[in-house]
Amino acid sequence: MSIRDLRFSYDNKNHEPIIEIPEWSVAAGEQIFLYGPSGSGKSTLLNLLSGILTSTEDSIKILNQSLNLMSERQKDKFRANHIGLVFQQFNLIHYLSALDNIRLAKHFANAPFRKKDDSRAKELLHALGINKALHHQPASALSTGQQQRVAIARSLINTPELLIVDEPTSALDSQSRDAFMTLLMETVTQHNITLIFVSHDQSLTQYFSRIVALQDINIAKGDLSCLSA
Amino acid sequence: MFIRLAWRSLLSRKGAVVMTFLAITVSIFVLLGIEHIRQQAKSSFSNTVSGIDLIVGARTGDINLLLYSVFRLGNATNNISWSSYQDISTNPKVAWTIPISLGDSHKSYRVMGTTTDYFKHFHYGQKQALTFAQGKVFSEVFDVVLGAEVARELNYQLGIKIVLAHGMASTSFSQHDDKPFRIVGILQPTGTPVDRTVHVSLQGIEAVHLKTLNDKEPHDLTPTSITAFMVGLTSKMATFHVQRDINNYQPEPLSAILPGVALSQLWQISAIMENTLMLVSILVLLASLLGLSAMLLTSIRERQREIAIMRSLGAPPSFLFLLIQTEALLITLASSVFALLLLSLCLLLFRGFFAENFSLSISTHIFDNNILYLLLIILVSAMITSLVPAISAYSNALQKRLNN
Repeated sequence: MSIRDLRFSYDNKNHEPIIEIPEWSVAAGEQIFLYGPSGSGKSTLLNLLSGILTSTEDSIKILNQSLNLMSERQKDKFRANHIGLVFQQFNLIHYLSALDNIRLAKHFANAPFRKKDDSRAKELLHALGINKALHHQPASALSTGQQQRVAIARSLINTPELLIVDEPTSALDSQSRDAFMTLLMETVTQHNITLIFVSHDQSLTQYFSRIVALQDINIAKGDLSCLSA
Repeated sequence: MFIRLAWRSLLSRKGAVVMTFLAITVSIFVLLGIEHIRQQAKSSFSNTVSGIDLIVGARTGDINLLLYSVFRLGNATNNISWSSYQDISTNPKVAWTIPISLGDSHKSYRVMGTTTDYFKHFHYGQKQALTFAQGKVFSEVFDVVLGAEVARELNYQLGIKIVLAHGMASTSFSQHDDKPFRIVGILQPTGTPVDRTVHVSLQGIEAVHLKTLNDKEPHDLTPTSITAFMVGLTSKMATFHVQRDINNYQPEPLSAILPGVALSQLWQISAIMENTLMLVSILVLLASLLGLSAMLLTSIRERQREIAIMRSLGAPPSFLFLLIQTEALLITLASSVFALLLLSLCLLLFRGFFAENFSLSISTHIFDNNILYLLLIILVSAMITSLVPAISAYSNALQKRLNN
């Protein structure tokens, strides 16, 4: 993944960019810990990297493909096929079962859900410590930790090359957090997945090969606090 | 997966969805119910006579002639002389005729004098002939054949003697009680004015109006005039020719009408009422569909996070658009099915009520082209009214939702 001359601003009054990254690259299979103060633009950067947000002036290349050259539909498809996303909380569709949440990710990758995919989804859930009894439970019946693990399983069902994780442990206690991190790192290592992990929790840096402070790569002067002003 | 997602999504919002479902069900029930009864009434109305080419009466308007000759409503402006009737009957283009003589009544039911040809040639509905529930055609001067409703309402049986009255008043001062008629036949129900008619022979009508009637003294009971007559032609091609000949008949002024044309003219009179009813039910449906749209629009606001998750998984905006449309379709489809079942059940339960009180034979078979066409319009309308929430889901910015 590489970024060149990325500049992004919301439609705020002074049009001060939130993100301005002259150059940044991440090698395939690298595990990046990205941190920064609240409002510094971490989530904005992740949304730009996943193609959810678009900047007209960027040059973001993922798997040697320029996101800014893609149409919205192509970006949706690219995201479904190559990028896994896990958010801080509320990752799942609450009325769908754990298994259906995973099936949905497969559906958007435009790959019909076959029996072997069901087996893989169950394997992933099992590997992440979600027992069989919970597979058909609606997501709303699962604990926060269980929901996070189902979200990880869902992000891995299409075997993405890039996994973007935004503060997934903030709602977990320390024991669940450690178990979750161990499982996550094992899974990404096993599948050689590039991981960009955003968190405030500096104690998690031990799991990563590369630690990046957003302010070191982002030279923008603005921050998100000016949006609410 | 797509339908399952839409279905589960609806189930997750049971309360609002059930209320919307009920509102749409009731409005579809009302709309389809009105349409079905309207169609049945129209069909019942246009099936009052069948297979009759012309109806002839004294010079009058088409609708008036139809009303008194077929529906037994109102009175003729004049009579037709028996000689004119016989003259026209012998026209080589005329296959058969049914003379009608009106003027008397029995307990508010109209008495119709006719010949046995009436039971042979008169048809209703889809060319259905009159059939007897009990008894047979009159053969004697003082025999009478009752329509189904007359027999049922007055609880008459074969063999009972009844008295005719002059005119239509329920309590007539001019009863022909010296000349009672014996019931020899009761017709099967037809759902037409036949059910409310007391049929006697033309000779019977003449006989009751004679001052004295002595069995030992021969009487000529040939009528001098009749009220109207129905005509069957040897060829349909001759219809307009014979109609023109009758309308230009020199010995006396006559009118010949085509029953089908006059029936549709008469039906047009009720068009305003019919259209008003339809308009009200369409407005009720529209209100319910707007309720559906409002419910879905509110749900979009509640489901911003859910929509954001789907977008992050790669759901294209068109998927979200179609999801909302599918939800609207599922609710409307479920409402339509439920409304149809409810309508069938109600028709099954109340068809007797309609037949007894309105002489309307309502079919429980509701799946005709009109109803299917209406259902299609309802589904398309639901899709159109759901465009606003669907477009809202499509166009809402993902970033805003994720950060919210």
